[in-house]
Amino acid sequence: MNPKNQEEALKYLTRRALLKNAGYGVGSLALGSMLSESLFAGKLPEGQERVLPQPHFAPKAKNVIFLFMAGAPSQLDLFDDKPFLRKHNGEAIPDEIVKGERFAFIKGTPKLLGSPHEFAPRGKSGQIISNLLPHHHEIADDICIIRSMQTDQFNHAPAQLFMNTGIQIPGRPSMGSWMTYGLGTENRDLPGFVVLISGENNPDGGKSCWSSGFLPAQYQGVELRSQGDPVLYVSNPDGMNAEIRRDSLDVLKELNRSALQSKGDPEIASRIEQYELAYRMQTSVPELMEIDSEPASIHEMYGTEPGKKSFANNCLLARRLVERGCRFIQLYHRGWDNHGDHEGNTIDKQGLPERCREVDKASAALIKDLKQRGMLDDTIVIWGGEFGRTPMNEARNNSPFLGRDHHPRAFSMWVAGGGFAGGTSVGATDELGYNVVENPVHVHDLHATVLNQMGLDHTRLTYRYQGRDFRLTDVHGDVIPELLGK
Amino acid sequence: MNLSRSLEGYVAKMGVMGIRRFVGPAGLVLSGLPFVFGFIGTPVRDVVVRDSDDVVFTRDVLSVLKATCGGCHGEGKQSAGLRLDSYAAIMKGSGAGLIVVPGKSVESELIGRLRGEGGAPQMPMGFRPLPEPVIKKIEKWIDEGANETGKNYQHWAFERPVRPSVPVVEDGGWSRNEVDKFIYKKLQTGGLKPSVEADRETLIRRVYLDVLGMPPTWEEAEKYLLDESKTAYRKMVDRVFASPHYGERQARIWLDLARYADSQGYEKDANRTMWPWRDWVINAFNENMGFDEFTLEQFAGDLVANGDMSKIVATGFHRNTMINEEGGVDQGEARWLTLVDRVGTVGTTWLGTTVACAQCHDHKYDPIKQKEFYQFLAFFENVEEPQISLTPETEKRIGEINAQINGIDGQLGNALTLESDKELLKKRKNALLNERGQLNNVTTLVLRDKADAKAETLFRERGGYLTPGDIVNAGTPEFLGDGAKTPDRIGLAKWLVSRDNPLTARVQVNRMWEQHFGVGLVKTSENLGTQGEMPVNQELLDWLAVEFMESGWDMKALHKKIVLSATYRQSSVVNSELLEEDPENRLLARGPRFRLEAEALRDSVFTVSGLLSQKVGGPSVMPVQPNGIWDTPYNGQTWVNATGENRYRRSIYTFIKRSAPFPMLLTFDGTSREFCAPKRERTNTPLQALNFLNDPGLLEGAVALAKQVLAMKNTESIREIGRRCLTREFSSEEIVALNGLRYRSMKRYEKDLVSAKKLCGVEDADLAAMTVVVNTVMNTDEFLTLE
Repeated sequence: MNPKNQEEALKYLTRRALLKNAGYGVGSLALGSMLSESLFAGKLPEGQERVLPQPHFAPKAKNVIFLFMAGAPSQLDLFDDKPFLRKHNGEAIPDEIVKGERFAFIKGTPKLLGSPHEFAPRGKSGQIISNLLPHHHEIADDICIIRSMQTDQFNHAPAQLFMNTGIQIPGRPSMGSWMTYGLGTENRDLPGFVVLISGENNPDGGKSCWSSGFLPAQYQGVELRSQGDPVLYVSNPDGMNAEIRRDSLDVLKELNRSALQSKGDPEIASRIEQYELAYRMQTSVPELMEIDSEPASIHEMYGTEPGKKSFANNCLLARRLVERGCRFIQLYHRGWDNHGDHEGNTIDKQGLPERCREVDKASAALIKDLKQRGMLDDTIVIWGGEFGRTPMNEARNNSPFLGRDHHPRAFSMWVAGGGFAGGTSVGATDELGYNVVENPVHVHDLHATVLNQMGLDHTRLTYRYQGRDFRLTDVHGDVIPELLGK
Repeated sequence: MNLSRSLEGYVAKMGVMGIRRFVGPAGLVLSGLPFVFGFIGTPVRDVVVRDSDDVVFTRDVLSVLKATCGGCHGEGKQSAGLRLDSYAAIMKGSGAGLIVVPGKSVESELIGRLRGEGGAPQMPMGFRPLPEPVIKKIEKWIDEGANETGKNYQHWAFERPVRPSVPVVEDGGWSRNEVDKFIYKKLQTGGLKPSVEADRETLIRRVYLDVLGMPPTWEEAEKYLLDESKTAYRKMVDRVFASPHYGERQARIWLDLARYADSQGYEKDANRTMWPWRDWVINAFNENMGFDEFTLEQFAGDLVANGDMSKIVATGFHRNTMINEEGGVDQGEARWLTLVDRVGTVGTTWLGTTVACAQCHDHKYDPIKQKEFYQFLAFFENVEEPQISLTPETEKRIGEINAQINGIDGQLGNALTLESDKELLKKRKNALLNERGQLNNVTTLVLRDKADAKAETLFRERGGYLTPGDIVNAGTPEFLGDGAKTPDRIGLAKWLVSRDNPLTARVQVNRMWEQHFGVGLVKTSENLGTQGEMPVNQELLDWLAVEFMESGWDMKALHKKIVLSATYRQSSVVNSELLEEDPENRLLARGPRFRLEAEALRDSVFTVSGLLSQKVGGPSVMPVQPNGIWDTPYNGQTWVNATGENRYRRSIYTFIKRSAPFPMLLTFDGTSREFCAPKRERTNTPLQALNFLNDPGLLEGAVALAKQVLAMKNTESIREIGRRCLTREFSSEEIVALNGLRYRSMKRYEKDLVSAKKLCGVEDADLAAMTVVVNTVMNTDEFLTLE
């Protein structure tokens, strides 16, 4: 038997063994399939198809792009217009409402703060959106605005973890990890779960936000860095060019093949494959990052400048990743924590309006671009932060600047594509925007609904760890039909 | 929308509608515990079918149906009016009639549905069918009359282990000790034969990587390879177990369980000083402290210290919990969460059961009551959590250092001292100065009893901090036999390691087995409860557990028993027949073969290149990692790549920041130490390949080794790489292949000396080419694998 044939034979055997031993639960089924997938990744022998884990039912969408506005933007100045609040601007909030509430910074009896920004109906659908997001007006008919989001957490790090992992404690798998665990990814020359960061610095929740937790390491979010190697260690060492690396990999393959032949362990075949994948990644990652190759019209549309660390560049990269079959892409843009505690951090001057300028155009461009390429139908785009902001002015230490404290009870997000009902608004808050009064959508519900559109039943996507079955939605979560226009 | 005219109107209206108050922080506790049970009805577990032919209802039928079908046919939900969680319910059947006809499996709907016969949907609906052998057991049970047998059946792991007699086997002299007899008997039932003994090169490498987490040096290897005595292997094993690196390797496993880190966790994730506890663990392993004493000191060292500071340091095990230092955090609740984590960690680490499941409700499968969770928690309720200064301890060491420095100064001042020796002495002095600097004001986190506080706590309804109930006193779970003799941490520790505790010894022995063979005798080493896997060889597990306890919980003795067995010494070469029969090597008809863990991989690189620092213990260090890994808000702390010796310390000493761990650790399946991690996954990914090929930190090892082999005779250079990296001589084909790579690379670098300098620091094409060769060998599957 020549080495090549033996390699194939071993792959076949391993796969059979894996299927035979895959247990009989969905979790182990998915894992088993992923393992065999990794064996079959790359170029496949003729007549064989790659085994991707199967969804629970027919999916509506294939990919997710989550535009995470870390720091929590003010829903009351962007999507949730409250004329009543504006009317009572400056009045003390009645004690009955805030009695027993915990705030991050507000002390005593705070005063109501009406939005200084104007709102109007936009698009054919007439969705109400603020003047701070002019480019969003053009996508009003494509996005489903949820005005009744709720979370359990009122500090940044736990709330970001909660939004990503369904739990406020670090160390659990994030949504992207669950998704790639459940569905695999279509392009094995690139990571299936990619994270892109712009704004001041990393999100408060740290790398735990894209951790695979107890899921195997292959489901970790991979950060595409804007400085140094885009993917850690993707570049050859300084002084080793591609020609030498290829030569070295060829010799390595020869040594490993001969080990496979004498030792028979199919893991060696898999190792050979992973090294070849790594080599292809060395080409595919830089190719992905080359946004210069995009036409001027696209740069115009997104507001991108090649070589710059910006949210716009990341939006364009997100589209390129989706085009290449990446399953889950998450963008973080930090700086939305506009407390009004100093001049540079207000909701009316510096602060919120600047953040809006940084993300508005590119967010809208992403939707329009996906749509014009026919990709919006199977791509879910999520936009929002970890919680909302108070209808009251924070006035920390009697600060004269306008700003709002953290508010987990009610906030707004939007979702587009992938079967979500564009041009509709779901849920409502009361006249002050303090509480949800209609169609509450909890973070767990959002998770359940997104998974549902990806063909995954959130109650069945489980993984056993420390002897217990875990899931993204813990023991909660409902698919919300209103988000899907049902 | 009907706008209120005034704020009063708004309040009144909201009052009528009921302002929806959040559960608030209590909710987070509830949702913080993701026990997902009923829902799924999907036991995601491996099933090892018992060998025995007898069928016991509770063990073989009820437990399977409860676990598999409980989601739709259990307490919470009864689809089709059917429950499958008790004998009575199963016999009663569904709304449509009986599902079990005693004596007639053919007429029993249950069997038809499990097999998916007769057109109706196969159960469990939407999930993988039960394995045929499991269905056969249920079938047999029906045919035998469907009686409620095994009412007093106790799950195997909850019964006190009894030492089984060692099987008598006709193995033609293969067995070397008791372990082998049990293994051989099992192989016979599977129709398999043991493999031949691995060659000596493979064996010494296996033992070193397994027991010490690093490969042997060629000198160490030769000592064994050239030893022609019959006891050569045993002598080599004895040398290995006497090495101080033993403690470092064993500590890695314990640190994962203990969730040891050098930072507090959560958003702020500030640095903490906890390494004195880590060093206590390493020392305890090296001194071969009994597992009973090891346990006692970590639970209650402060109560039995009698002035021995090291025993107080030991209690740091329980201080490795994360600490939340964010603004607005309820201190009482934050503390309570650490107690909850402690109970879960003890449950997993010592009892191998999911005690944590009982925080919110009685355990759904194991006999643990919710009240018992709080009894357990009460043991930790009366403690204080201070940070103590270790100055008295470190003063002793500082004294030693000062004496050594004086000695060195004397020698440096001596005109007779050779210049080359002076260089070495200066290096040594710098290292000592460095150590002394770090030893000033060392602190660590420990436990201490709170004055006038009782070991009692409040029951929490549905596991919520904000829903306290009655007072609960400290106590241990009833199903695990007689409880703690005293309601304090000493009592708890002694109970854990009493001869009558059915779990602790089995859990620990199984974990030790897992270390050596890659998989435990119970694969679910984190769970030996009813939802865990059945042991593949319970007789052996029990024999080892009893042996362990009766030896005085002697860890080195047990490790040695395994390492000296013929089972362990088998070759790991596999053929397609064996692969088909036993792909995961559960029966052990061959030796272990698996990829090394992150720490051992990095330590291998620096061992073979001679760069590895031999220093044991001390503050955590920051070896080379790419810029920008530590970049978190509110935290000015930075990672400064170490210089000198600290660049090449063993990986166990690498600083662990929970929110931004060392990248290589994560890439190779290490954990970020937020929670107790009973075992690591073992993945094989392209990112690992990129890391090992291109990491500049690891490349330093390749350059160092390349330099050393180039100083040898030309014909020896390549050969030496094989000896150092793979503990063997290269074959002639391998030499040809590597020589080819060397000369082609040299030609390329001769034309581009600038690149050569970038790669290895000097404009030397030969060195650059040899670096490429070493880098290639260090990426072979063989280098990365214990085999």
